[in-house]
Amino acid sequence: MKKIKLKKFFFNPPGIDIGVMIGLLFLIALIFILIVLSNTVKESIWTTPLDAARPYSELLEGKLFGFWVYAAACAALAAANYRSFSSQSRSLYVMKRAGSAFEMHRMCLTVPLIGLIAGLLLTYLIVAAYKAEYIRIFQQYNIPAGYSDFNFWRALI
Amino acid sequence: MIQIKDLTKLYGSTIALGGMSLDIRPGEIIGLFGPNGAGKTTLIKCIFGFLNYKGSITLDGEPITRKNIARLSFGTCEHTFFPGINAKEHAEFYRDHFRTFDERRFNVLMDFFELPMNKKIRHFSTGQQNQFEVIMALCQGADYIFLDEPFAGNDIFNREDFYKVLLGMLGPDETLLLSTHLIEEVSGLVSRAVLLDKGKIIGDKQTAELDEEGIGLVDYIKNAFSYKADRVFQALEQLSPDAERPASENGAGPEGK
Repeated sequence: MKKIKLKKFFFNPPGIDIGVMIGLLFLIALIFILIVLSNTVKESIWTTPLDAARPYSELLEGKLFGFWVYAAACAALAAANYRSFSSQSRSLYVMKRAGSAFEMHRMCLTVPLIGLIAGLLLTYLIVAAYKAEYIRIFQQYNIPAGYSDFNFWRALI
Repeated sequence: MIQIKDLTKLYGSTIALGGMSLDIRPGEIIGLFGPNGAGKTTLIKCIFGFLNYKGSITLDGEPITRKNIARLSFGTCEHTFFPGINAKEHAEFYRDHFRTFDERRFNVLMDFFELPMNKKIRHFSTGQQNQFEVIMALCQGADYIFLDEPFAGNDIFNREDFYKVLLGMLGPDETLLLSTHLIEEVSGLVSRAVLLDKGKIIGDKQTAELDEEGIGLVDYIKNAFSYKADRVFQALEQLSPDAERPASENGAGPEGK
C-alpha cells in the first residue's frame, strides 16, 4: 500500500504548532461546553418545578451560550493563523508565490473549522443526553406529547 | 523577459509611479537606484501583484499570475521568512512548494554566512535575518530575483564577500534586480543602472556604456539626480561665526534700527 506523506505545514501555518492549536481548542471546549454549557442545561432542568414542566426547547433557550464562547475561540484562532503571515514578517508574500491560492486558507481554517464542527457535535450530544434526563424527571407528571422534542438549531440561536 | 508598460500607481491622489515602462531581460543584474519615496519598492510590489496598478506587466508575454509567479523571488528588508520556524524547516517548506528550490545553493550560503540550521529565525540577529532573507530569495530557483534593500544592518565585510559569491553563483539566465542605496558597493556587481525619481525613470544605462564613456556609476547617478556638490560648503559657510547674520537675528528690524 502506498504511504501518503503529508507536507509538514499542511493543516497549520509554518510556526504555529498544530498540537498546540488542537490542545487549546480542546481546553476551551472542556471548560465552555463540557462544564459550563453542560451545567447550565442540567441546572435548568433541575430548577424547574416538577408540577410546572415546560417544553425541553424552552428550557434550553439561552442556555447554550457556552458553545458561542467556544465558537468565538475558533474564530479567534483562525484570525491568529492569518495574522501569523503578516506579523513579525511578511511571509504572506511567500504564500502568494507558493502553492495554490487556497493553500493559505487551508492552513488557517482547517483546525478551527474541524474544531467548530466537533464542538457543535459535542453540544448536540450533551443536549440530547440531557433530554433523556428531562424525560426521566418529568414523565411521571405526564408531560404533554411533544414537550420533550427540541429543535437544536433554534435552541442554539 | 519582464515587460512593464505604462505602469501607474496612485496612493490616493499621490502619484507613486507615473506611467513608467521598463524591460527586464534575462541574465541582467540591474541596480535600481533612487531616493527614498522614489517608487522602487512600489515598482517591485506591483510586479509581484501585491499592489493594484494601472498598465501592464508581463513575463514572457503572459500576465504574472499564480501560474508563473514562482519564476520570481523576492527578498526585502521587511522580511518574508517564517519567524517561528528554523532554517531546516524553511528548506523543507521551499522544497515542497517550489520545484526549482536549489538545496545545494542553500547549504552553501548557510555555511557561507555561518547561520545556524536549527534556530528559529525570530531568534536570529537582524543582520542574520537579512542574510537569511537573501538566501531564501536566491535559492527558490527563480529566474528573476528581486532584492529590495536587502543588506540594511549588515556589516561591510559580510556584504563585500557576499557580492563576490553572488557574482560567481548566478547562472547566465538568472536575472537580479537589486534596489539599494549602497551605490558604490554594488557598482562592480550591476550590469545596468535604472534610476527612479518621483515615480519616473530618469536614467537607464548599461554599466559597460558608462565604462566606455569613462563615467563612474556614482557620478552618473549624482549627475542624473542633479546632485549639488556645493551644498555642504554652503551649509557650513552659513554656520560659520564670520557669516553675516540675517537682519532679524541681529536685532535690527526692517527699519534698520
